[in-house]
Amino acid sequence: MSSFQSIQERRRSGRNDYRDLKKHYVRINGWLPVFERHARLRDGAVRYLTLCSKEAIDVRYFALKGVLPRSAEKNEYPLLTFVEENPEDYAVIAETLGRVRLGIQARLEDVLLDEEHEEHGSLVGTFPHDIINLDFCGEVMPKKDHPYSETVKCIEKVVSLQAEKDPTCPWHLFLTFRTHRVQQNEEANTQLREILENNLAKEHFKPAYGQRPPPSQLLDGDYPEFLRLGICKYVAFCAERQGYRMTLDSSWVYGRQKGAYHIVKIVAGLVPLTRPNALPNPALINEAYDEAVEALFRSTATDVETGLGSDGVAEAVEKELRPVVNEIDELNIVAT
Amino acid sequence: MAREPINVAASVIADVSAGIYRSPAGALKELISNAFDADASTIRLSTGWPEFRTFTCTDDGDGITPDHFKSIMGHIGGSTKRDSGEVSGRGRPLVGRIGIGILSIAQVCRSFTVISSVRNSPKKFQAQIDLQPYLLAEARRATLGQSIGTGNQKVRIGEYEIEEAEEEPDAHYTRFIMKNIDVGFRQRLKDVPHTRGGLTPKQFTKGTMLEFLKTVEASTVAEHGAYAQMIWELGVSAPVEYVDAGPVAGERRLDELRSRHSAFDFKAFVDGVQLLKPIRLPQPSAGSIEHRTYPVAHEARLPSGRVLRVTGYLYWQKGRVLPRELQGVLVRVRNVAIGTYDATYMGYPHHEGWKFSQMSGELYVDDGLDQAVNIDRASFRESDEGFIELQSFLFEKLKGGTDEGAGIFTAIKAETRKIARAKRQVEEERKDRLAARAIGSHAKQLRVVTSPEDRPSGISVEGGAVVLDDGIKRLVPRKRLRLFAAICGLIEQEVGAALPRAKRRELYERLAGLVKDL
Repeated sequence: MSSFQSIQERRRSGRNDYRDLKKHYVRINGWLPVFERHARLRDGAVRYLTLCSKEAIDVRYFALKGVLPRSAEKNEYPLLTFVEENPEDYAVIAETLGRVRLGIQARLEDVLLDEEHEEHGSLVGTFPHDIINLDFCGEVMPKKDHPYSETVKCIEKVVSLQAEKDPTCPWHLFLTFRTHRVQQNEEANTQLREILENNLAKEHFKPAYGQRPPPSQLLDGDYPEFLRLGICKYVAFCAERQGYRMTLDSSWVYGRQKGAYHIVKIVAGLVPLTRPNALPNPALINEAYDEAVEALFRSTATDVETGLGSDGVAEAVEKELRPVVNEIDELNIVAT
Repeated sequence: MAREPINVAASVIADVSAGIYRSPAGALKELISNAFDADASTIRLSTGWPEFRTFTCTDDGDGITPDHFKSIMGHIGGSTKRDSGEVSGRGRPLVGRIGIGILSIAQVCRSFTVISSVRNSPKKFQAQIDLQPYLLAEARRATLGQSIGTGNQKVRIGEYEIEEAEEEPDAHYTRFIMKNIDVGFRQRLKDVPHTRGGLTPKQFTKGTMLEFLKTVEASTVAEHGAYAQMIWELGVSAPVEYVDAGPVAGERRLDELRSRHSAFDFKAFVDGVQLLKPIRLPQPSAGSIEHRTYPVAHEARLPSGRVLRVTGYLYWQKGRVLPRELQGVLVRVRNVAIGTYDATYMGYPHHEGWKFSQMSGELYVDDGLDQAVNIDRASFRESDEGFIELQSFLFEKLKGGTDEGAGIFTAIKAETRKIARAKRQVEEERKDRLAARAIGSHAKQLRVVTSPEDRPSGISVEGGAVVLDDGIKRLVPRKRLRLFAAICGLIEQEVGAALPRAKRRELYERLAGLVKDL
């Protein structure tokens, strides 16, 4: 199967994903409160970088909720930056959203990590953002790449760019990744396990880690949780290096293909630790990192399927999603 | 005597393939016309504003099959679109004729992707096209009729790769994705005029087409930059509806023009903005300006047997038509504009001064002018019989006889005089009111009456009128009479009793001499 055919296969199979209530459950309960907070802080002028899919549901939903700036004619999103690798999906997004702050047709990892990339300067010029939503539609450390994968480097680069452009700006990172053990790099799993074990060697982390099985068993028994801890710790590490305190606002997990694999979503806040023009305080930063890891170990991911199973919740989510679906259907986006 | 062949260098074709369109809009306009011909309801273009690095265009038209696409790419310029009739399946008059629309993209970028699917087919295809100019040097030495590259009697201007994939049977669309946009094309679109002169560039207001029109209608579109100009040109040229109240507010005689576009049911969007014809006369900022609309229609059989059919309107207003880009006449062939507004009125030979800046118009040519359109679709072959007939018709309308009895320019002159007269009268009445009030007359206006009977002082104020005897009146030029009467009336009324009559007469005679020499 050629790459064109496999891309088309994926696009076709994803045609009904835009009505997915699980995803929207997280938008409502995990992402929207963060948007509302930033909208209040910035008087509505929330700067948003997203890897939205062709339907751009997140963009449309937050605009409809009034927390992402959009023109009255719905043809301009002045503070929106999006990056889309697939040229056809890029076309759909660009044509139906209208004018945005910047739209790039490329792979985010390529644009951010390759300084020679023709779009690198333009994208870097849009930083800082208030919210960065990275849905990588796949594994963070895929089999075909090194443990220190391009995706991992990309997360690190995003954090460093935010700090470089405005170290005083608090912001949020939304991360979405797939936890499919067979697709994941085993060497990366081993390294993550070792890192977790090293953490647990410190006595003060143990109570927070609680009754979870040890990392080696967690890796085999609850891979989504293993990866959630591992990736969040990595974000906390990147945050610490750039002078931020990471706070895990929430995390979410739901199954796909009858549990064959899971999707994990992380909502992390990054708060600057250093005052403007003040010297970095290593002790404060180390302390913040330890606090972040401890809080992470104390945290649990919300099971989206359980949440949706509660009385009336699915109906409420569906109702909330309906205006977005109507907009998408009106634009005839899904058919192409 | 032996007959020798005449050959054309293949570079002619290679040059054409490198881009023939005057402006960015010229190139993109072809994509809109192709979508219109393909019976699309909607076409959406994205320019990748503000960086202009990726252009995309998607229409929901009939789509193309891989075989049809191969046939198009194998015979660029050999369109068979009109072989089966002059209208599309939905009854739209077909715009494309030659089949070089796809080359319009060559001006935007040298390599691009086409993806298309047709109704009732479970397949779609993607073609990666590379229009490289690498054959140009070779083509300069070659002539048509020789074999170049892989084809006989053809010039190879590029290559493409085609792939197929599964698609929903009901999906139908064509999508173009253009990356690596030509540097000049990008620079042109990013250009903001006046920055070099130290002037503040005007900002293009984002929003609807109506908002856009409000921004530009005070002066020119050009001063808002090339991007604004592109939006303008696309709106003007595309077979889409007029903005509200266009083209001439309240003019019912132009309903046919309005309804023909709504019947097409064709919408075009550029960067999310719905294109509408940005033609709304008179421009609202001009207030209740005097204006006239002259609907026109013409049908003529040409010497070759072709029939030229024209309908449209010419428009005049007392004051400049703005934005400046609306000044002139726009010729539409099969509903699509050929070039922009022609301020010379197809080369109208007489000097008409300011009147051209007060006029606008559109001529819809539904038949008989296709052959005259140059391949850039921005100009005409002026020796074509259809063009000559249209030109004569326009000149006749402007200068010669019209259905209304006189040429439009004659009508405009008469209209202008009438307006000027009315304006003068209003002004005089105002002055008369002031004068009557100053004299202290109970009359609402100054009335000047002359009398053959001598007045001792030459002037009297009687019953609200200033009466001048013939002796005094003869001393005053006609055009100064009212002013003279007002001043003398005031003197007569205010100080008349204090001076002897003879003295007053002498004073008035001296005053008459004074106003005469002023």
